[in-house]
Amino acid sequence: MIGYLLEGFIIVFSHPFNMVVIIIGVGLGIIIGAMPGLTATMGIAIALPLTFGMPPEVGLTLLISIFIGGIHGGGIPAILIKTPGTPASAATIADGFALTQKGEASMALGVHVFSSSAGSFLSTIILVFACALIAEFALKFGAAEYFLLAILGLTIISAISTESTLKGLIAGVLGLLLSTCGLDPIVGYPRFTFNNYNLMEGFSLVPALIGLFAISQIFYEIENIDVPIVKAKDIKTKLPDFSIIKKIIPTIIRSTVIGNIIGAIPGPGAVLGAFIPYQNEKRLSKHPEKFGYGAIEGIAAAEAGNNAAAIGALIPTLTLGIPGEAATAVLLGGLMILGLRPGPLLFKSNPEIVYAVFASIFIACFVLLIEGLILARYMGKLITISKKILLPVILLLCVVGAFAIRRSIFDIGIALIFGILGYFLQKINFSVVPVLLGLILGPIAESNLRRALIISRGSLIIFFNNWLDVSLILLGILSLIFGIRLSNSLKKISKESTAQTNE
Amino acid sequence: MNSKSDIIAAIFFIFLGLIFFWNSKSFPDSTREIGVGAFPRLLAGLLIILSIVLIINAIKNFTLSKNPPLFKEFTKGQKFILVVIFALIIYIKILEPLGFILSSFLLLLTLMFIFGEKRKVILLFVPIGFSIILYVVFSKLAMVSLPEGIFENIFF
Repeated sequence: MIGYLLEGFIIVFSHPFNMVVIIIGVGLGIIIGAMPGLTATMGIAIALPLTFGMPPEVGLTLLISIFIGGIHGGGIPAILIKTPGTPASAATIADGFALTQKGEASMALGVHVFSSSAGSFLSTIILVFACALIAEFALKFGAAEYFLLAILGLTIISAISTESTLKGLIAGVLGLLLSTCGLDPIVGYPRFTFNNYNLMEGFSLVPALIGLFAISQIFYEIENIDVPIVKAKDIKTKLPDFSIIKKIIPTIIRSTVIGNIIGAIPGPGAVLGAFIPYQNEKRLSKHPEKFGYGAIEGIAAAEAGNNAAAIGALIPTLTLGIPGEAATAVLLGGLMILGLRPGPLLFKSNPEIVYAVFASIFIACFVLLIEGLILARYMGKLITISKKILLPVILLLCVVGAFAIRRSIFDIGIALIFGILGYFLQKINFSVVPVLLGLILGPIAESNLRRALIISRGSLIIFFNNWLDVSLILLGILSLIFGIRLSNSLKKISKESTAQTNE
Repeated sequence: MNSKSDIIAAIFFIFLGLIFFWNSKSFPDSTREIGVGAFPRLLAGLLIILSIVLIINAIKNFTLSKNPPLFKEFTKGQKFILVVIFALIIYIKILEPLGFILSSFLLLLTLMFIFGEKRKVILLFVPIGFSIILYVVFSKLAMVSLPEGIFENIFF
């Protein structure tokens, strides 16, 4: 494994373009994450078409760099104008903005960038070891297991992505059903194409994903376009003093471990990855009364935690093809478009790609430290750009992105339809993550189901052949049973945390 | 939680499920293996059943007083959304004949103006700037040929 990782570093360093991609990706991520209303998920969706034609490891590096930068960037407006750039930064608001009001924004931003980078770096170490372990185990999978795994992933996400398990399931089934449009994966019969040759290959993934995650978000922002924007000043930033760094290191380490584990569990994602470490530090602190009123440990815990959670979420995404939440679901789509099949086979057939990406993530953590410090100085102006200008421009980016993959104007229409669908679904408390997952996993699930049944000559016994299959099925049933309870209790935790930090 | 919107959504899903179910009837199905239509039929059936459960749940929780109508009347923001959808449909129609730069310029200008941007300098230069930058980035750097329309060969 260490050998692979060294090779990965050699691959990355031997090609200057890789470094450029990391620098651009992290920078874009920070800017997108910092602008209230634009999320890391949206950034990944819009950047997807750019990766087309790149070598897979470079494309994946770009997307993950944007992800890491985006989660970090969300903390900047949280500190400066009390508005989280991404939901994951909500836990940073109380302490960060308190420091800004005391005139110590520079200190807050310094602690913020150091914690984010350190948290990302430590979490990446966990990522490498965990992925190697899980991939080793998952190599025993055959067609039946792949089908069950796809269904399990979808069940888990459906069960916990919204407050209602039923709605999650409906969204998942909807995605699966829509994925059956186009030529069928085994014999190539055209299904549900309505005699339109544009639908021969089914709904193209990129436009669907841009619609569901970017255009629907733009609609949401347009609806609230008149909310006035808070003004912010540009602020000088520097790394915190060594005495402060020494003080927050234990906090960062604890928060990283907790954040990573939370991130790796599908569902809760980066938001709880910030809140739970924050609560934990408050509990351990000798001065819990300072939390919420400018405690640097609070910023460190929240920001190390949410970045660690983001990287932790890569573990199930890469090894099993089960993304935890929206951003990694879009990332999963990116993997497919780059021609990589996420899951254990990825580690067997393309270890050089995986470890080159791991090496890039390590480098991205350092780039984040430097770029985060530099870019934060100009963010005061940037985050206050009027949405009247910003939203049309972002919309045009989505349109070009949807068009670019197949050079198809038809695909712009697809993006628009999925945008409208996504907007309405979210409006009535459905989640769009299961829809995307269904779209991605549908063909995998169907072809493996049918292949397994061809092998077994139609006998369903193949799905109960060994303990692995049975445990996958049991896991699926369990996730359904506990789905409602789990999501309810998670909601309660995050509500309580929000309430407490807002006090 | 709004029961009324749940019911409307469920009816939409049932309708969708029926379309897929109906369409898949004509697919060739061999008797020996699971055929072309089986997987979509299974899913369409599942979607319909789940939607019916959603309706039953919604009716159980239905209380008139607690359920404000989904759209009383369109707010300003919701009108903006309709404008954007309409603008995009027109954009799709004019993209090929007018070309990317001109159609994108018109799209940005229209939307920014309708959203309430008043400064003429911004209304002019942001749309021009972004249309050309995106054109150059995509067609010259990323090698995605965008429709050139009436400006064909201007940037050779």
